[in-house]
Amino acid sequence: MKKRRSFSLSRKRALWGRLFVYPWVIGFLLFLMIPFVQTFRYSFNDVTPANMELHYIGLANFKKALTQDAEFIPTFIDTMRTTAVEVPLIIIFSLFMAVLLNQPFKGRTLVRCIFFMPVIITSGALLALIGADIATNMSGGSTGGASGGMPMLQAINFQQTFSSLRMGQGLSDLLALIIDKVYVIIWKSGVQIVIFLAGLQSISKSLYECASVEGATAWESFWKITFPMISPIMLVNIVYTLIDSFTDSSNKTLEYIYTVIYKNVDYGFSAAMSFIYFTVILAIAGIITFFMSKIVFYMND
Amino acid sequence: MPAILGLRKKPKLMKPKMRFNKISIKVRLHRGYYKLLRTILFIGLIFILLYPVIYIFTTSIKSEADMFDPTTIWVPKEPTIQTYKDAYNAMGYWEGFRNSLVIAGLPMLLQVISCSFIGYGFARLKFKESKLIFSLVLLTLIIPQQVIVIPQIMMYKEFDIFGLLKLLGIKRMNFTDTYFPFIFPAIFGSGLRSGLFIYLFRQFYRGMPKELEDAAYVDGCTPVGAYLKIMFPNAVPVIVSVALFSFVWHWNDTFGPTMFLTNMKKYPLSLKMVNIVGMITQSSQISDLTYIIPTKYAGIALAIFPLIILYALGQKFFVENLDRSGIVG
Repeated sequence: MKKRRSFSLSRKRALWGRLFVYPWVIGFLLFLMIPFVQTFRYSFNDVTPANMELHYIGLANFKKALTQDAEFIPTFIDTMRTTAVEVPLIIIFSLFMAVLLNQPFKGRTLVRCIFFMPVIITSGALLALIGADIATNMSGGSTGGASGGMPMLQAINFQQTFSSLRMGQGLSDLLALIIDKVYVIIWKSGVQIVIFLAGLQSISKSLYECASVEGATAWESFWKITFPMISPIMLVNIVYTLIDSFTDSSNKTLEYIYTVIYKNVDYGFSAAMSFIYFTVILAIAGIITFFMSKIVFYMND
Repeated sequence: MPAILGLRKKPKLMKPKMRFNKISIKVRLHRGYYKLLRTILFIGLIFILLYPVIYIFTTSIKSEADMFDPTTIWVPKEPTIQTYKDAYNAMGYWEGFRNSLVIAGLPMLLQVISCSFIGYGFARLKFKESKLIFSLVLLTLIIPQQVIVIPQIMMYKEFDIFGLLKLLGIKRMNFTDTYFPFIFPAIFGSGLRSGLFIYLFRQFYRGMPKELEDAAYVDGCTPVGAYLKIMFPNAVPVIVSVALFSFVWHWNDTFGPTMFLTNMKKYPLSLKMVNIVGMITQSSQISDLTYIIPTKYAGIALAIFPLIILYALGQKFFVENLDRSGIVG
């Protein structure tokens, strides 16, 4: 008797659950799924822009993107490289800043306000608009053409400095790239600092008290308490940063796809490139989530 | 000082003062160095973060004489607010402001309502395909808008609900050049970054004590009743965070408006900001770009000004007490 009642209750709850969630499914089908499937169809066709007529050409668009087009693959690799450098640096920097901002000190609210400000006013458009001006102003020369960031340190030739230190070519390239990125990284870390700080605040103080009673140093308690406790948030943050940098409108590959749509009016080809791009993002996000979820520590499990 | 700072100070006060004497001079010296290092780091980073803001402001109040005076770098000698008046008129600020308010405000309201509703469904009401649908929600975050924009424009040109309107013989509507492409998806929780907001709400509701809801159920509430009476009113911190994010992202968005709007009169401030140089040269017939730089910056300052006000108002909820914002479940 009791069993039957609970069964019907859970069924009722499931029905209510569907009532809550299915509006999203309708929206998803209507506003995202249809355009998505449509793009998929375009990618196998030659699209006449005037009347949107489709001529089936099989995999020709994909072949063009992967083997013939002179710009797609280099831009794509460039985007990948930028992301591969930026994401870890943003994560490390924002975790570091979050730990510092979580400590009590005078004027903390003000400092936090300033650090979260990029969340409010960073938009690709604004940075692109003022970036070149500021770069010119800061280095005193005509650096110009800075897209997305303000490379104020470009005046110094780091590449040369590093190679004079007899480092390997790869390492000096990497370091120069990192220094170039300092400004961008600081500006892009706003949301990540917010997320990390929220995570740090949710760690119970008693854990740290225990550790300090046992004689742990701050360094030890960071690696033994903070780091494992923050690891689920870190996963969220990594995936967020990855997606944010891949879907950002100042992203070079997306810019190129956009040019193909608007300057060359080649919808089929741009759809094929979009699809290759999307598949790769999905694969990378999937692989990272898979490996990260193995080392992520969950307190409640 | 906000309450949380007070809270943090309390345990310190309760510790006996003797403790400080026990700490050796060496440790105290180390702490002093650490504080000094931290302060220097903060000052440096704050400089980098504030640089563009200060630059925008000081440039925006420069007069023509200041622009051609090589000794004027930061503080203008003859500050003027004429630039703001020029930018205000050239941009059609009031019109742009109203447009931005519609583009950012309405979707924000709708997203808060729809995403919290959907998020609750994922958090508390279990059913078979719930997890599958939730992974679809996360998947939508990965789709760049550029990928699907062409079919989207085609869709809004001849809007139809799964071919239903065509079947009923109703004339299909053209929604380009209106704000519906921003509003419709927000109603169903598929607007700009809705997936992230649904995720935040779900995390928050999962962290709320079950007893609260059970009390509502004992009183005979349906899940909708429990959601409306108990869960939603208690979600203020996450509502503020989501509302702020949603408003700001919609306000700054240039991609959507470029795609769906062609009429200049419907442009939001973000688009007007991007096209500001053209707008100024058109209205003032000045072709020397150096002359219009202060006006350009005045326009930029005007475009982001409402966000700074909003941030100043919302920071109380946002900056401290992040642990209650639902970002961490």
